[in-house]
Amino acid sequence: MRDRITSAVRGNTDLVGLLVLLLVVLVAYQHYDSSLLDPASVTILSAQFLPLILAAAGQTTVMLLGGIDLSLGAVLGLAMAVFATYDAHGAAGVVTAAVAALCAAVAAGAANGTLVAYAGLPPIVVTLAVSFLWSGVTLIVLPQPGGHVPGGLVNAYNNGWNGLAVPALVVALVLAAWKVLRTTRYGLALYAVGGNEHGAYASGLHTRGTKIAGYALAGAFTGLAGIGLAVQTGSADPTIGTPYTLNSIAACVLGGISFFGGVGRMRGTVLGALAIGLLTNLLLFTGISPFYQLIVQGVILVVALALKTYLTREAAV
Amino acid sequence: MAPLLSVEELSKSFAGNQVLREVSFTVEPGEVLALVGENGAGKSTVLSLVTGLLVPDSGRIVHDGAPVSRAWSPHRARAAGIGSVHQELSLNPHQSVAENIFLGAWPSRRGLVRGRDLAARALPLLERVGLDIDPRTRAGRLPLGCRQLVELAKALAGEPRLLILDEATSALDEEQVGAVFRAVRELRERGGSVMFVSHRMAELFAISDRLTVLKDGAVMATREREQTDHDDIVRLMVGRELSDLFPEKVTGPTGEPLLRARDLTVDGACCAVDLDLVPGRILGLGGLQGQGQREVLRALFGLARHTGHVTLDGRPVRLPSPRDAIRHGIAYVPEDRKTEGVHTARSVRDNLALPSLCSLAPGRRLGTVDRAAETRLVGELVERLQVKATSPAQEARRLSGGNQQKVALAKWLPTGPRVLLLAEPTRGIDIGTKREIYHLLRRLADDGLAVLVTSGDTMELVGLCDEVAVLYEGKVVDRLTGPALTEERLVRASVMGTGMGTDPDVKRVLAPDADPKTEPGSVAHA
Repeated sequence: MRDRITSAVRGNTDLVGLLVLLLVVLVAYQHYDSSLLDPASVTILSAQFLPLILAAAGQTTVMLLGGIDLSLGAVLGLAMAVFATYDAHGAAGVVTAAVAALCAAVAAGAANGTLVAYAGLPPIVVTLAVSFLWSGVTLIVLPQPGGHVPGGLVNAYNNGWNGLAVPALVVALVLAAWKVLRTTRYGLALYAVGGNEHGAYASGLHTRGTKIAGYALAGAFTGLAGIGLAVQTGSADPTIGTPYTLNSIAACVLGGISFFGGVGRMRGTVLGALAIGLLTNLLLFTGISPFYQLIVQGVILVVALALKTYLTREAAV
Repeated sequence: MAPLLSVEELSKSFAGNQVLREVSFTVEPGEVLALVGENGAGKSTVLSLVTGLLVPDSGRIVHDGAPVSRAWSPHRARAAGIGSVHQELSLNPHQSVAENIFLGAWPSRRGLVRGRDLAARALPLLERVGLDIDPRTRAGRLPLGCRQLVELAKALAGEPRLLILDEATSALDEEQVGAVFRAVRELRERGGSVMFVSHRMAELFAISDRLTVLKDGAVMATREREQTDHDDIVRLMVGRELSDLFPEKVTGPTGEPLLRARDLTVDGACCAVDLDLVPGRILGLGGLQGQGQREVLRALFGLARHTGHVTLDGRPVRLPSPRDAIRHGIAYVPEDRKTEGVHTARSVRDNLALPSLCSLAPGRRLGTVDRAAETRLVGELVERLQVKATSPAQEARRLSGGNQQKVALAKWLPTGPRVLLLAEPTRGIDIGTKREIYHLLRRLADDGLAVLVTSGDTMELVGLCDEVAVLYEGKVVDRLTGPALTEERLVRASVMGTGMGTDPDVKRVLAPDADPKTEPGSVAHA
């Protein structure tokens, strides 16, 4: 048992700092809201955090390839708009709407990947440019906030379905799927291309295909995030996706995903997204002015990142 | 028997600069063909064409009896049984050794790659290249030499019929080179072929069956190994006899040291190193690879945290950063020229002007660069060091290694340095440029500079330096000078870690004294 604990700690040294931050936030949170760990709270919180966690998962996929996705918020908004505009009734309708939204997001991701892989442009430029494009398409689909999501679905998502926290299950499924993906050839190729693209190419890897598939996978995660956000709020807003771009990047960086690609793990990202979500809520509880909340949030992020960099550097020696 | 690979009249140019002119040669099954030539002769370009990294402008490559397809790529080359180890390492430092070895061809069961399975399959390959390491180690944690051997294991994993080794031994010690040779011979016995590129002449003659000499992008000759010798090959490479590789050494009494280092210590790298750099003299740092030579130089240039006393002209100096070192007239030409020596994406002109920006953009011009002065300066340096660039506007990464090295050195000269530190100044550089650099260093020393050189090449240290300090596990174990400075004694001290020293009275003159009057000020920063 003890060996297992030590080996678990050894294998996760990069996450120790993040876990400490999370613990501090949780303790403070408990102070304001003692029902934090009740099943009902867990359901509500997971429903609230799911979109950010999934968006961060998408961002992680792109960042592991050595890229960055600035169009993530726009694609999230697009998926959300498609899902809510379909005006689904009944289970079959919901599935159709979800498939349509996912297809739109995956297609957008694949388009990003193709531009990055073939045009040879830096991902930051490509995704910035197409973010305007997808924002425009979203506004054509849904010019103003609206759309409709079946009430039963909204209720099941936010308040639990037969006592199950559905959003938490989704996150667990995503983590499990990622674990399997990492042991497939594609998963190894993803990390290989991110770690040393030229080397991977010279070794006969299809680096372009790997990139396109990676951006498409990120699109799938982002699409799920958009659907989640629509279900959570019961409707859609074409401009609500924007903050998710930078928040997802913050979650990744906090979770230990390298900006240079090839380094990082999905569980780190999930914890990073949780930390950001909890921190935002916590600052709301304190009741200080929203302007100061932003400042405090920024300072905490910078300190956490500086600390993490310092700790991992010590560990590397 | 039909050749395994035949290269027919290949030509290639980059941005109007023709690097290959109708190159033709063949590789027979079961032979080792060495490609020989100076830097920039086109060897790497030929190999990149064969492995599909580049596409030729004209000519064709016939592999296994059929011309390769238009869409020739590294992927197809690997599938066709061509394995390669390139000059630039292709490992992913963040993945395990086993994952790297099977990169792109991971063995999987039902779509899943099992780590244990991968490691088990990697072991026999690592054994073939003489590596005893855990295949689950992250590749980035291995020393350079081991990484190069992992590259070889990776190339062998594809069971190649043609193995291409481009400077695959550049970071290896003798034992490791032996392991590479064993793997090459094994492959040859099974009927496989090898194309081998190295700058070490002895290796070429030890392993190859035929040698093809390239010069300025054209094939000069192909010779059977039995019918040629070193001099013949060098003559073909440079087009002339090369008798004066090393310049004359200076004789006479040594002057007062300019830079004295006492108890120079870098954690985990070197310990209590004493060095005296004398104007007009070239001091060498010898020893096996990784005995702390590099860190001594980095410490003296303020790149490595260190403790100890350093005096310049008798005055104590602190060297906490390169900025301080430069201000004191210390210049450094690093081992890894592509990351530390030159800005590869910038032009030759920008690179050469960078250290002199203060004088090129004086306050009276409000900090704007005097273009005319810059042009003059760059022109002088290019002329003086014979930098071969199409124009000063050419990007540094498009220069050959030898010319990049000239730029890395030349950029310091206008700043008027008094101490010149060079790490492996001729690694991976052709023999003609080596000679130019040796003579340049001697001329600089004659002009009054104190020069400190590290090198893994014994012949270079013995031929170039006036004195060599031998490091072993971070400590100076021997100082060789005058008649005592021979390859044999240098190698012995490097390997044994103990010096016999020079004969006693010479030693007294050379060994740095600890005269209390000149005891330098205490400097310690961490």
